[in-house]
Amino acid sequence: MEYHVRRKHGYLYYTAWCLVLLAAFLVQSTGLLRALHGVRPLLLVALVCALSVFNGVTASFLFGLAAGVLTDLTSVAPDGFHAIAMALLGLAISLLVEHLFNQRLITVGLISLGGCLLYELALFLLLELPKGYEGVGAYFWRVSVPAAFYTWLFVLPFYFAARYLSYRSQRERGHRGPGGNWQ
Amino acid sequence: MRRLFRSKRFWWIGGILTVLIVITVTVAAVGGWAAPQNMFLGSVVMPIQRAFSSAADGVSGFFGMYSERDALKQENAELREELNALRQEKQNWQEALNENAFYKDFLGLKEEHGDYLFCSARVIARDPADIYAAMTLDAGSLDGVSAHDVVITADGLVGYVTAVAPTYCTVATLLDPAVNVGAYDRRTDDSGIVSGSLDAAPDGACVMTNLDRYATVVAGDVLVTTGGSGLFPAGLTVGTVESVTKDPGELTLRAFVRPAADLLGCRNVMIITAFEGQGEVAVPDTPGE
Repeated sequence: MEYHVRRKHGYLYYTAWCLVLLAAFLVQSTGLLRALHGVRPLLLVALVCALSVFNGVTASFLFGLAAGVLTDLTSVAPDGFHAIAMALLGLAISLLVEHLFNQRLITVGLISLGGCLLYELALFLLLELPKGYEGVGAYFWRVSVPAAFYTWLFVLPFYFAARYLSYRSQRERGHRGPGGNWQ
Repeated sequence: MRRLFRSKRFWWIGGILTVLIVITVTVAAVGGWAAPQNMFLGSVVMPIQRAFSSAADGVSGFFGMYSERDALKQENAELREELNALRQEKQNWQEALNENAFYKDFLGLKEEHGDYLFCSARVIARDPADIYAAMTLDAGSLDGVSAHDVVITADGLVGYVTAVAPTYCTVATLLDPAVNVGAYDRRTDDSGIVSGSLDAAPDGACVMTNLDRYATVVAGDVLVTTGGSGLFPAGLTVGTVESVTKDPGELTLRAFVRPAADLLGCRNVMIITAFEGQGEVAVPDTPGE
């Protein structure tokens, strides 16, 4: 396939995901998702987990970075916290899938559950624990763990969407690689 | 993997991460301001967020409700257009009415406290990672808002501004354990500290601690701010006592408080940008009274 056609498909692929990212951010921050006992899911974490499975290291890192900067906009956490955390999450999942694991649903489910739990653990250790208020230890079990599982539920639809778009993009572009496995 | 570590790509990623960490640590150390990348992106994204938030609030019930037969399509389209215009008009009218009621409530507050300088703002986003109802408002430093400004509704205290960007700011609410407000019982003059708690936050409530064990606070009492720290003005309604219990050590009492303002559902708020006695006592590192 011609180089410029492949390139065009690549642009389309990443533009589509940027739009999904923006839409997920708007839904996440507008409070449209129901809170369960005060806990809300972090849609962008689920999106980063699912996308990193089908994209190269650099693309996953940059996508995580963009998702994190967006999350920082509406967060009381220090600016840059979510950007760093999500960029590292994207990078880690992408590296794991590239070098150790595969893209099957069960594997991805386990990796992303680990990712969500680690993300919530980081939030707990770096943001909540230093506040040092009475009973802060209970926060992890009562908020962090349920939030991780609630977030994880959203990985599944994003996983199928990412898989479909990635394979379609590969077919259109005529070579292997998620969205071209741009690295 | 070894190839990755030797590649230029790896050094680029490392470089970006280092810059981000430096910015984050600097912003966290200075406090009260948004990071440069957030200010830039926020200026672009927040208007979209605002529009989306408005759309989510509005009436959205007339999207493709009926599919008509071909013969009636044109007539139906015209009628629908007219209906949409009328509905839009009605919605604008309703919004104006709500706004009027909102400002009317504040007029009483303004008359009562002539020294307050207000800036109206709208809640455009909430932090999903924060169970303490942290929110983002559509007013920033360009509107005269600065860090630690007090946020209220006509019903009572909401919280204070934690970080400001030119066009938006983030707010920590009374539900947050890091927010401490000196308050007293209007009926008995018993004083204590109102702050958030993990137990009460999911129900939209907070607690009053450090109450004297001989205090006569009872359910239904109204709490107002003492204004002792210079951070919150005196006399703002904080909430109503729901129940009173003894602390584990039984040296003090602890009261569960229902905030007067609807912290989980409020849409329009006011920011007090200046008031008499503001900052007369030094603001501690962890803001609160």
